[in-house]
Amino acid sequence: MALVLEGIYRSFGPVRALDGVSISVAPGECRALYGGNGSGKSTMGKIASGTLSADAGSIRVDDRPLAAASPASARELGVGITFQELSLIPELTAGENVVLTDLPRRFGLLRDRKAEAGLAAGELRKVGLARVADQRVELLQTGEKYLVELAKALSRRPRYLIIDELTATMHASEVETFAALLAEFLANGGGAFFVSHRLPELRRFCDTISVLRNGKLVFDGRLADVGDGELVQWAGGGQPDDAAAITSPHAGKTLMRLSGIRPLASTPPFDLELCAGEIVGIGGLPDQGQKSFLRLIAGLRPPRDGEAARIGDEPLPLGSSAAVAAKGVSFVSGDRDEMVFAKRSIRENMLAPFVSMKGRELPGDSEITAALDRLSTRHAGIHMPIGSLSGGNQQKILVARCLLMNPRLIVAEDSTKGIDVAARNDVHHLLRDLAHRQGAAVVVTSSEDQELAELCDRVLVFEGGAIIADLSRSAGTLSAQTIVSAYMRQERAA
Amino acid sequence: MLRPVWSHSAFPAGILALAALLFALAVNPGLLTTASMIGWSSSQLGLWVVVLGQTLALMGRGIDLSVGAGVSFVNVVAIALFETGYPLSAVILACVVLGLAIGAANGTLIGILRLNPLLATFAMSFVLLGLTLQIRSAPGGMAPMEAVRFMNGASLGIPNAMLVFLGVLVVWSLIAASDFWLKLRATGADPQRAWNSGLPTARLRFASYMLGGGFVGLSGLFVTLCVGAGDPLFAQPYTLLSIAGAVIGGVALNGGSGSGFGAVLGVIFIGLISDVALGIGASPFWQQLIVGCVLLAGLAAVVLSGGWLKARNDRISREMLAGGGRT
Repeated sequence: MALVLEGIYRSFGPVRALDGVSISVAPGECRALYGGNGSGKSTMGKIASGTLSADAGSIRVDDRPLAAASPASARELGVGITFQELSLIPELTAGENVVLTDLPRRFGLLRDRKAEAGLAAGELRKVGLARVADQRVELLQTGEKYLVELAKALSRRPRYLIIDELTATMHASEVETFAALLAEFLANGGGAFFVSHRLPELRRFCDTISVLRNGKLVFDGRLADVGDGELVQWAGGGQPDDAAAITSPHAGKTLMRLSGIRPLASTPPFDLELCAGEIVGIGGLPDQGQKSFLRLIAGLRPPRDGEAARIGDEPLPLGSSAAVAAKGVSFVSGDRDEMVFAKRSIRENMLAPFVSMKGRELPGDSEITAALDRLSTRHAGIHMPIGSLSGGNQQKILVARCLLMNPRLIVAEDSTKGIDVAARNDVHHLLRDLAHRQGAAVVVTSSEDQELAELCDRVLVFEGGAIIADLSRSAGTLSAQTIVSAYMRQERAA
Repeated sequence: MLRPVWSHSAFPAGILALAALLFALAVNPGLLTTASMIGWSSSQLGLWVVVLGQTLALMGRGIDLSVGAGVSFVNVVAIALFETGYPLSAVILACVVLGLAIGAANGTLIGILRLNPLLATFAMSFVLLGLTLQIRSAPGGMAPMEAVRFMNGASLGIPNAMLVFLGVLVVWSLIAASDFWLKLRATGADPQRAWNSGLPTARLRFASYMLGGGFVGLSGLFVTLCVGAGDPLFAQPYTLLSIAGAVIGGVALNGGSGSGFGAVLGVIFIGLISDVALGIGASPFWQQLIVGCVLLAGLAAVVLSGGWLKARNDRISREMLAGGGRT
């Protein structure tokens, strides 16, 4: 009785993603599937769930083979998966999504909407989201979408579950919901592969671990037997990031003046100054206006009445991303669907922002290669399509292109979402270089308070579109704990 | 949860069709007499039915450029069968089966072999046109007189063509209430995610074309019985009219959203403006221009108002969600 993958090989074009990997998970076991970007762990999860076919190797679910690579047959055998990129149809309601593959029928043909609603409400109640059953998924917040994805995977009562980076963008309370469901699932004899980069969560949820590196299995055993240092090295080398980071010699000179800012329509406006050479984090509970604030200064959302910004001595033309970019503002998002031209080459993706900067000379191939080398990104040449790389490597390339542009302000929205510790450190070092050496201002959001505390010189905590705390490293008030207590206090008061 | 009527994808088309109807009545107050309704509905029935087939193809992120040729093909085959002496009931069955077969051929090319829907059905339209011209190269032939008289008649003051169409709409509402329809919408909205969810996307797209072919068959049958003759080119304009009508009716060209009723309102709008252009006595050379301009305006109105209505609706839903979250 186990989900067994044996001798799995898989190549994507010239890149060998999996090289004879064998792993298994038994009922009641939660096994971490861990590795760096491009290590093959997500590929492994997709093969186990029938979403991708293996070039060679066998998949057996409780001794029954998964013959054809199709999610439908894997589900039949009792394997469920939550996709990092979600399998929810945005246009359908949360309820419809959850029961989509098992719709109750009348007369063998028609939808039984009453039974359907009951079924959906029952499944959604488990993740505490029965109230969104009739809402289209595209309207939900990110963390809620991942909980609906979980409800959908669990609705078929799978015996084995592959959990791919589900918790990456969840808020702490949502992770608790997930933790309770996972515990119940395991207690009822389910087995799970837990794919994640976050060491504290691996430690919390998993007893055993399989570590992949460059498509090969490098460790298989009890998680308690390995230390964090080893795990980070397996994920691609490098040490855990040093929280006591360099502080900036440039800090102090005001780069940007924002006035009348209203991240949410309902909040009173505030003014804000951003300094050159400073990394400012925007924290708080999910969806408190952080995204709206970032999108405003990146020119991606139209300004509300009274909102204005100046960069240096000039006004910043809010509401036009091209005009804002031309003033030296670079935007990076962790949502790769939104950022990457998947079918175009790495080179073209790196040059894409220059299109809006008329009169600027395009960097040559040697400059592009040099920027990539600083991030130790694995790639088969800058003329390969960027879509052939793993998500983490795509993300690094998006950040690396800021190096070429030499921006005055970098707006990074959850820019380390779903990438491993080593890659995250690379991204952090790059952002610090840009701020502290080149004197750019950097504004970041992250779903992890720890990351904000490590990376930033100053963190603004948002609540309902207003700044409720201003924590700074130089004043000694900045730590993950102070960020959490800032927004938790508000939550309790509300 | 009850959605406001204006949030429905067919709402702009409904407004347009109503406005066109009022305008048509102003131009021709006799429009609602039984005689004129008979003439109008029997000339439009084929288009009303075939747009439902087009909607099925569009919903699964496909398109069908062969519907016009398919209707003509069914039309000439039906006339040929009548001329060989087959009874009406056999011909009705043959039309539906033939339509399903055309749809199955398209569905195999697109759903199973994964050819590009635009090119596959474009090529198919020439195959069908070639076959049609083999059977009948010029208009002619005759359908049974009593059937033609029925389709061009009325019961209790309501044109029979409209009653027949009501029957077709009943069939359509069964499709729209089926689990197949929801799964097809999911497939059209995002084929990859639908497949990842475990839906048989290839089979669903195949079925959408095959079922759509059934409506092509019905359309061919009704054209035959309304017109009473075979014409290899009669239904050629149906292809693009049905696509334009469906889009005006709120069906997304890239799949996943819209409704058959909206699509029907869309083609009714197109039919009405053609009538109006005729009714105001413009020269035939100006008619095309007028119809084209009104079509463009209608399309723009639908696209612009659709975006605005969706944003408004989304905002209200979000506010309701946020409100619910706090309590």
